[in-house]
Amino acid sequence: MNVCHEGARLQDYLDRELSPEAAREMARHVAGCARCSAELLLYQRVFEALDRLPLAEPRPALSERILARVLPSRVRRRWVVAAGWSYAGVFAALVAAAAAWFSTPGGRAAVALFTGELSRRMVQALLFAINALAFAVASLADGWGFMSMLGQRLAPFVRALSSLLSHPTIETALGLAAAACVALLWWMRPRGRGPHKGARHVGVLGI
Amino acid sequence: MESADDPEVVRRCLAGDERAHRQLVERYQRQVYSVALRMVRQVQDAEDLTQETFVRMFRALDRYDPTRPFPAWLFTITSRLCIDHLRRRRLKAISLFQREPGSHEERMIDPEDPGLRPDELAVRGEEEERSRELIDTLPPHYRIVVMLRHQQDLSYEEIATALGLPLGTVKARIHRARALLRGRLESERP
Ligand SMILES: [Zn+2]
Repeated sequence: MNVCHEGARLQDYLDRELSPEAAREMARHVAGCARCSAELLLYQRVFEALDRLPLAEPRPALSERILARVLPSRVRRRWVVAAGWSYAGVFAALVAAAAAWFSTPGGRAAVALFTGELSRRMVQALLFAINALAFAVASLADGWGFMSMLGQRLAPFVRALSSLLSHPTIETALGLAAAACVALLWWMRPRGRGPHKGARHVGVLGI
Repeated sequence: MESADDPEVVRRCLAGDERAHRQLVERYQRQVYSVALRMVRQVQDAEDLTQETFVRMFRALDRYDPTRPFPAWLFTITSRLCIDHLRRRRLKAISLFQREPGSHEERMIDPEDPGLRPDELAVRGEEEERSRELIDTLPPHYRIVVMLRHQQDLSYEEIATALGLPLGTVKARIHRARALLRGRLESERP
């Protein structure tokens, strides 16, 4: 088996990596060396086979698949959709957990107690707010001297009205009207329905 | 518009132009897919790797140096993904099968799944099919350099950058790969 040292540079020759002089020299050598000309033929076939390797044709859906992940608008949409789904998921989990807890007797009682207490506190808070507001308005008006001025203007009317109301006939008629009002309100009072007798506190959630 | 060069298309992509995004995908998806398919030899995996290449490429686009050829930069991502994919597959295969004592590393590195390859049912020509078979006989670390050199026309320097290997290593691998193929051709037709 004859080995030629020039054969090591045959690939560089086919790669056109040799300088023009070196390439000319190699061409001359190959022409005169049987071993190298046989090698060159084999390597030429390898190069041809490799250069012939075709590009593969991807399935038509591939580009849309790629674009769905890279187009800025679709990427944004993906984020919005992901955020929406996570929100919905967390919400559903919370509702499910609350429902599971509420289905136990202890949970039901706690919810009833909580909502009852909550609505009572809310009414208290509302009353306090109205009182505070009225007090603030009165103090403000008083601060302006409005209340005392109003009192002075109204004093003659109040005196006239009180002398009129102290008349025995009018006094009796007013007393009767007041009694009729109280009776009417008593008749209109809410009456207990169903199994629950008497006034029962109604919670915020109707529980 | 169609003939805008790569740096120009990249610049428009960075400005948020969606048509430029499409253009870049349409221009390079076949090349990326071809390399991925020859490397992993499974259509589904090759498509996943192609998609992942583009996702990562667009994410890193602001770091692309327009003075460098775009395909060389793109194949940096593709080849890394393909090699990682084969490594994971190899680890899976090794954990499934007993390792042969004294087995050759080149054979161990390449346990591709056999089976039907839908892309290869459409045979375009006997010679092309022959080229494909020939390159498939190479182990993956030879196959990638040969693909980048002969199919994608990258220079030795570009391949070295893409694979993060010294230039000498790349050259040696390509020469060794061709020598292996030359041996196969010789044994076929004595
Ligand atoms: Zn010779």
